Amino acid sequence: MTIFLRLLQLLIEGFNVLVLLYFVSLNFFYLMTSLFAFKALRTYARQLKAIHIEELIASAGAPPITLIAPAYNEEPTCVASIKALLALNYPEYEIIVVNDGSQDKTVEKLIEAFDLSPANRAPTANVPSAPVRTVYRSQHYANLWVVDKENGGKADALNAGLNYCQTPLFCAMDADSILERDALIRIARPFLEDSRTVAAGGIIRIVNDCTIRGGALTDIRLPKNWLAKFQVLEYLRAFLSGRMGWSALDSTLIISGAFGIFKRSIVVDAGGYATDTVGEDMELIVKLHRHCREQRIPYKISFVPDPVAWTECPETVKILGRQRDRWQRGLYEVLTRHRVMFMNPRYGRIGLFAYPYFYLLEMLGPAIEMPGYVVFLIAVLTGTVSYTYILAFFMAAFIFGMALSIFSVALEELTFRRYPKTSDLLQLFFLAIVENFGYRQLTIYWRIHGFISALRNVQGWGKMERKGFHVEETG
Amino acid sequence: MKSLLPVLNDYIRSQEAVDLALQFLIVLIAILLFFVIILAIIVLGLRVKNNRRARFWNRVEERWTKHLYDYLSDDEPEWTIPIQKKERLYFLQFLLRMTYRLQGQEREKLVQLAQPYLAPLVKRTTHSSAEVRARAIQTLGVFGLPQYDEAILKALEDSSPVVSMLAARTLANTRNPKYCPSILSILHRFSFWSMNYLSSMLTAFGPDIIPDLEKTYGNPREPVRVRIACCEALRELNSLTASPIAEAVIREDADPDLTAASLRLLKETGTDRQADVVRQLLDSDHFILRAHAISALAALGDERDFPRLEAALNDNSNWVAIHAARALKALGGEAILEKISHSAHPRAMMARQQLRELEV
Repeated sequence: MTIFLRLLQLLIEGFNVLVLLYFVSLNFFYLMTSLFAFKALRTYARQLKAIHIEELIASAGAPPITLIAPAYNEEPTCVASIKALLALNYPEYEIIVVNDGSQDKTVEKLIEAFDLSPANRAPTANVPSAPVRTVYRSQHYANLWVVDKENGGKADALNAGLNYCQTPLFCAMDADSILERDALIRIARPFLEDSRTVAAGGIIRIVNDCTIRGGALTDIRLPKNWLAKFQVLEYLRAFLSGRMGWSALDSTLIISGAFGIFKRSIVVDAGGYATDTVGEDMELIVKLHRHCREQRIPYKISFVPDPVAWTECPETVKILGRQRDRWQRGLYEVLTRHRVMFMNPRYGRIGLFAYPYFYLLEMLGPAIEMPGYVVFLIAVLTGTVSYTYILAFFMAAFIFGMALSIFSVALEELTFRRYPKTSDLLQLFFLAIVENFGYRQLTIYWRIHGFISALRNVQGWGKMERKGFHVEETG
Repeated sequence: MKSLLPVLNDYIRSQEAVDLALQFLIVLIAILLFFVIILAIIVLGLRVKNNRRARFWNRVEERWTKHLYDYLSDDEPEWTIPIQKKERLYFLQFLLRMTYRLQGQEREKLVQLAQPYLAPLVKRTTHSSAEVRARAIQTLGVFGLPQYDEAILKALEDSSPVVSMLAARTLANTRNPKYCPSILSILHRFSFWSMNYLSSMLTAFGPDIIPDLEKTYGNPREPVRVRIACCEALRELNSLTASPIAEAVIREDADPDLTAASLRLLKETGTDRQADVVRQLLDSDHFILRAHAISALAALGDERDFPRLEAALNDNSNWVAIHAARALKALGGEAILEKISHSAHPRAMMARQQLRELEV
């Protein structure tokens, strides 16, 4: 019995050390990316003042872009979304809407709204995808095409769109996201400044309760729903501190599927999107790193902080849980698929730095953090660790998390200031405090749930329900 | 080492170590809390300052804008609003923004308005911050040429690529060919910039710089991307004298990207005399060269090329096949495309697309 208790004590102590190590390394990375993000954002904001982007694009001959927008059962929103895309401010672009075997009347709606008729369009690539039924072209908008295909999932729809893409760059996006008018102009900049650029991602912001008029956002405000509010802060942290910081370290490993721009030829050469994972957006970036490193192709993958895609976020615990479960599964699938890169010097700083961070801290993190709460509790109850010590530890973790959130809000204030009301700013501070009591623990629970689902090889996206944008009619 | 571990183990379990860890955590909490409060105050202060500053400049700008419109439409013969010392840089930025929207005489009036405030900017072209230098160069480039060209020419050598690129671009926008050799001499510094951007910058000088471009393009000792930029600019300037150089470059078996650029140049400026050198590339290992060769043949070839083009429709690369179908249509081979479009040929859809491409 004594040996058993001693073993248990050793186990608890060992696990406590592991949790402590996890806490220190995770926060070290957060701090480091935040500081790099601060420097990079400051430089970027100053450069924006020095370089007149529209003039740059006009003089450079903007690289033509194809927007590939996969649509599945988007009957209520597809017409408004595509009208917004048609109003983008960019000299030369084409839109390919890929109807991924919708079971509602998405195609019929599009045919009616944009006067589509069947057209001949030969594929430019042969990336495998589900069979295409018909290709349509709008009789009113020469740059609008609709590819109607059998259902195969989002990645499959993107591959189908990629096969019909004729421009050097393509933009992968969600059909229900709203791109800001200048988003393409801003995101094309890395491709002009550095011809090695193969991919660039923009920032995603939450559109809930904002007002859209004529395809553009006219009133930006924090959502009313608390879950959505928390996500605003979460997105600020993830994009302005996280992705900007990783980009400054030249180690971008994720470009959101809602808005990213890619060099078509290199994506085709790398085999397009993987259809057997729910993390197809991250998988493509990891694959591009791998492809370019293995083929010795000079390349660059960037994050640009001001081209914005506005997207609707879940407002119920159930749907948000499904989304986070899916994200964690995607992370697991991608990182286990490319585990050859883990700590492999062949893949440079990605293999030695970014990949281990995502693998050990983002993928396995919840599996340490969640049991950590339980083991700490046992340790207190069994007297292994003092109550005061645990309390101090949690307080330090809590205040550090708060500091990082407020730092992200500071980055927003220093650069883009998209939330003009001071009351919104104060709310963001308040959210940085209260998210630690419940919301944070919930996200850890969903992530560990996703991790277990991935281990159990659960497939599929889960149903996403959308409330729809608050659209004001023009004129 | 063996004896050290138990000692360390005992120390970790001692009350002293626990107390030390606790003290450390308490200090950490205090520092973090202090940092959080300070940060929140800074952010709030920043918001107040930004709002106040925005309100102030909005008011000032509103006044300037109203007066400027009167001044530009000759309702006001003179600019009468005095510009305070602290407003000078902002005034220049205001004029700069307006300049992008205006042309001709109105733009010239803005340039004249900016003149009294430009001299201090020369000092800013050597500022330690690259962004400050970039803004100074940009402003001088729009308002201060040719009188401040020395500062801008010096900026071509700036350690920041953004500053030197802005300097190059502003010099190119003057369309004065005297600046071209200076830009060509530093063009290799911009080797990562988009080729479209580089060639359009050179094209801005106009046809007077064609001899300089041809010299650089034909010189094998120049860096490949510099030669490609010159080649693309020659194509955009439609230089008919450049086609023999393109032919020679293709024959020298150069870099594939340079060869592809030369094929594009030949397509625009070549004659049927250069068709043979183009045909040699129809069997290239690089699909990009095959595609560009076919594209050039569409302009330089004739009906004797139909069998070659028909064969190219079976190429593994979709792009080569697309160019072959386009070339067939351009050279009058619609009958071949028509036949293929009604057959079970794997590229029947492509043939149909070419035949009906202009219908919408």
